[in-house]
Amino acid sequence: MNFEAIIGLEIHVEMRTKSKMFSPSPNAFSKEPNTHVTPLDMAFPGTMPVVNKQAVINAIRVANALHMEIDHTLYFDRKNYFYADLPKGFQITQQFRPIGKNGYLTILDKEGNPKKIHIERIHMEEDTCKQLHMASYSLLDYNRAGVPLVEIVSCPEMRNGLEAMRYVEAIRNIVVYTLTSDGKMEEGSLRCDVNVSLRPYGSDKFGTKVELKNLNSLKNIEVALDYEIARQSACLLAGTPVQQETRRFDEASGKTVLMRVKTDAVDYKYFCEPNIAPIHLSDEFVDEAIKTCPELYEDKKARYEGFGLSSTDAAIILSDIEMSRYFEKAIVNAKNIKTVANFLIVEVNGYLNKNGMAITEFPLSGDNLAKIAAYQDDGYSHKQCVDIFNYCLKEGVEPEEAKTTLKIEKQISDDGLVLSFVTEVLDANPQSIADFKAGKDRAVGFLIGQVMKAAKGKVNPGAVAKIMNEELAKR
Amino acid sequence: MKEINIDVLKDAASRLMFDMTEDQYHTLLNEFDVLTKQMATISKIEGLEKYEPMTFPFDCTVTFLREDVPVTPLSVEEALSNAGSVLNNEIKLPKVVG
Repeated sequence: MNFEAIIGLEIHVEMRTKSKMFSPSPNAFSKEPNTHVTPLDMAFPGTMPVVNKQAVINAIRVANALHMEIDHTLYFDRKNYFYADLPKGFQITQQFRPIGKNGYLTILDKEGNPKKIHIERIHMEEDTCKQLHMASYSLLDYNRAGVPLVEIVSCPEMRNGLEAMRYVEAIRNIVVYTLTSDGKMEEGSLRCDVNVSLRPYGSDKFGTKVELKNLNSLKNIEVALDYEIARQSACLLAGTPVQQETRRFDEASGKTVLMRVKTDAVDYKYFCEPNIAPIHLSDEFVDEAIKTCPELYEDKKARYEGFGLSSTDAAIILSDIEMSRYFEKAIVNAKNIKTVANFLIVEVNGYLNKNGMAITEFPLSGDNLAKIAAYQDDGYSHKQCVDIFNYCLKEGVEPEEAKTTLKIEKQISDDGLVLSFVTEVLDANPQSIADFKAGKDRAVGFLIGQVMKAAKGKVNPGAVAKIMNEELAKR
Repeated sequence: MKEINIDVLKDAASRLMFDMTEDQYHTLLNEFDVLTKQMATISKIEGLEKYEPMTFPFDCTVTFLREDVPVTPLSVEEALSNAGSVLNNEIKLPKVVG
């Protein structure tokens, strides 16, 4: 390609507080419109905004996780615009003094090398109401109006769709594991606006910026950006200037589609919010918010890897915070954490996928999963343990009862006993030995199968394979 | 600075969809006269350009933050009592996007 892409992201995260940013209205999902509304949300005269303490604590935690300088005095400003989504006629935000600035996070680039992405600012603000646009009218639901948001603005340092996707994924992991947000992109609690422009390699001037909206999944970010980079590149190569415009991603076609051409920048006439005096945050308050922050994603991942889990396996468990919570409970008394993790990743996930279930609905307790995993470490085969697992789920019984009912007995791993079975089978099958010596590897499989048959499945296949290979080498 | 006169006020009122009487326009214009005279007086002070705009006009801070405790919200009927048009408990407006 002839051009370098310059990508910057603005991410809005809905905070998971109990009440809204400036009003004590409940902040919870409701199917019924306009049921989580107090007079401030509707801009009734005489109402005054009061800052939510937990929202500030959450913002501090996210800023700290992003290695930012934290402002110990909170200032709020009015972003003035006349539109029905906020009846006050302005949004309360932090335009001039964001709570956090000059941070960074580290992602892996295309080649798998660490890359630092600098973060310009993080600030708190309030969400707008939800609008539903019909053919001839619009409907307004103010349940979302006033929900606390943090906005995280990156420096334009990403160069392709993959880096942008990994950046958003890292932000999502931070907000989810600090318990700031559920981070669900598909439900709008984490929303991305992406700015992308191209410039010739070596140039230090920025090209014309295009804004992409409606990117509601990590995969869509990558696909949309790669499409948009190719589109702008084709325009420039054809001698057509890129227009300053807003485009949306069309999931069905995998393309970006023009929404509107941008003209002059809107003047929001920002000024300080006179109804909220500057709020001083003591060192103790800020330190306490950081000290009491739940374990961060990266720290948790490092801990899981310390248990012997691969980076991929740790990431699979951490991809769902509820899965991680289940895992933490399961390993409290686990004999071998890695075996528990394998059961969780393969068997539990398989069951959940098959039944369209979330881990929070999974009927087997973490403790019982650990018991089943421990059987495997005690010498029961994986297949036997899976039988116990399935029986527990089907009948709702404890693992011990399942084992007894299924008459599952521990496999023989004793070398002496296994050797006697192996010797017996080898003596009875000289042709298979000859086949093996002639290079037919499949003969080993046959011989192991004969041992399993002779032992009625009670010997450990791993031990059989090991001794079989040793004995074949001697003959 | 743009001169504030009756025409400017009428244009602004029209765009904001405010319905105002001639008397109200004159009252507003008189208030703007006071404001613009004050601005003109301040603008005469020498060296103003050396000063950064203030983030907040008062040199004071507070420490109060509201505990994150929700209250009982308004009933839907109360919340929508001032709405001109309602459909399925949502406020109905003329379409606001093209």
